Amino acid sequence: MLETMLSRHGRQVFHFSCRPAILLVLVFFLGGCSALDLSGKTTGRSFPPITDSPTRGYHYGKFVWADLITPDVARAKTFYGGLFGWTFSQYDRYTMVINNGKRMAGIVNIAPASEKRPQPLWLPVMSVADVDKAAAFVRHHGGRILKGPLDMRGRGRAALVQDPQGAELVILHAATGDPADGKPRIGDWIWNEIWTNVPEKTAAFYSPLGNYTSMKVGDAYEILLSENRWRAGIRFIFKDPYKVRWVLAVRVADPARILTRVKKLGGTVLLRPDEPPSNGDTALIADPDGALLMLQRWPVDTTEDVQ
Amino acid sequence: MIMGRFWWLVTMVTGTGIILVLAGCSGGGYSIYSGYGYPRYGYDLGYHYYHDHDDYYEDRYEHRQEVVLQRREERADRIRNMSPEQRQHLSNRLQQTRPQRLERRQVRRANRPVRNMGRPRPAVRRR
Repeated sequence: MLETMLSRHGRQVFHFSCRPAILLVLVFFLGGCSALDLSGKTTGRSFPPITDSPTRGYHYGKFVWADLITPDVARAKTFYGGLFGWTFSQYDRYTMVINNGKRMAGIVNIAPASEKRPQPLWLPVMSVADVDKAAAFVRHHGGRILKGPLDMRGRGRAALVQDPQGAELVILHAATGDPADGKPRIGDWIWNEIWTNVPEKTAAFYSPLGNYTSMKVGDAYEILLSENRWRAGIRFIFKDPYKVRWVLAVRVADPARILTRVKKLGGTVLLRPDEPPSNGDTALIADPDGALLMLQRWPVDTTEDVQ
Repeated sequence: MIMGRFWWLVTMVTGTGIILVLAGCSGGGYSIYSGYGYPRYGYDLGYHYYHDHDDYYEDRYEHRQEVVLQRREERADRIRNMSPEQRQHLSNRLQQTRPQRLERRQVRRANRPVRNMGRPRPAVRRR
């Protein structure tokens, strides 16, 4: 094929013995191009896309991914693998979490004594149409940009931000599109909620960011909707033992029963389902390194689509 | 002399007075108690001395006496089987007026822990 490309109109341009050298030059040239930082701001490593196959569809405002920031990836894998049956796939230094054959999260290593992020946590990833504009919005409305916006090769353009009250999250425009809306299976994400003691301010900040409409549920909860689907919740915390933060929920069959496994695997049970403020179907746990996570039972026969 | 001239007037006035007094005494229909004889009146007065409706009905409807006694036994059993806390609660409750009870209920509701962690159940959408 190369010979055909180089010989136009049947005329031999290069001698046959030159071909290996040309091949080598081409290989190096292409390799150099791929390593070149063309955008000006690109991460050196590549990341796995958030969907198994490209969807090219976007659901702005939806929480499409989550990353666990932890100092001990091996311990996290043992804990979450034993608790939910998650499996893991290694991408360079990034660990991808798979539930029932479907990718759903990632695990990122941080130094144990890192002052920047002293506490391990689950970071929710929100889909936005334009990361740069969203980051500018965050900055303009009292939030902070902790990193980015930058192109994460293979993943998309992203930024790690902090809202005005201090809750951290990632905003992302995925390269391959967002995962389609569907019903969560056991072990999948079922909910994201932000705990805040200033719910009005929180709603005022996130509504334009995710293009949400909102719906109040009682005095102490507000649901954020986009595309007429429930995307996240704003939970009013009267007292603030856990600081303002995003908390993610995994769907489980029975939160009370799984708690015994949490203890066996080295985690901590912070709230049982029968303890308020749990609504009877939720439990709050911390993994062995202290990252908070909610477990929630969800009716199997519900007709409601989630995320 | 005057008496001699108006004897007929004195006789008419006195006679009318006597007739009216006699009519009143016979329960002729102008008193608020007209139509009620003494025994009935006295019985109704007796009702006001009872604080318990069951007891009232017990007297009034003798055929329900068994039911009334059974209820009284059940009530006594309930109180007997109460825990000390429940008995104290009942005692406190009986010592309170209705506005006091309502106020306490409102305070309890306000202090009730909010169960708002996690995705709300789908039922809230139907509200």
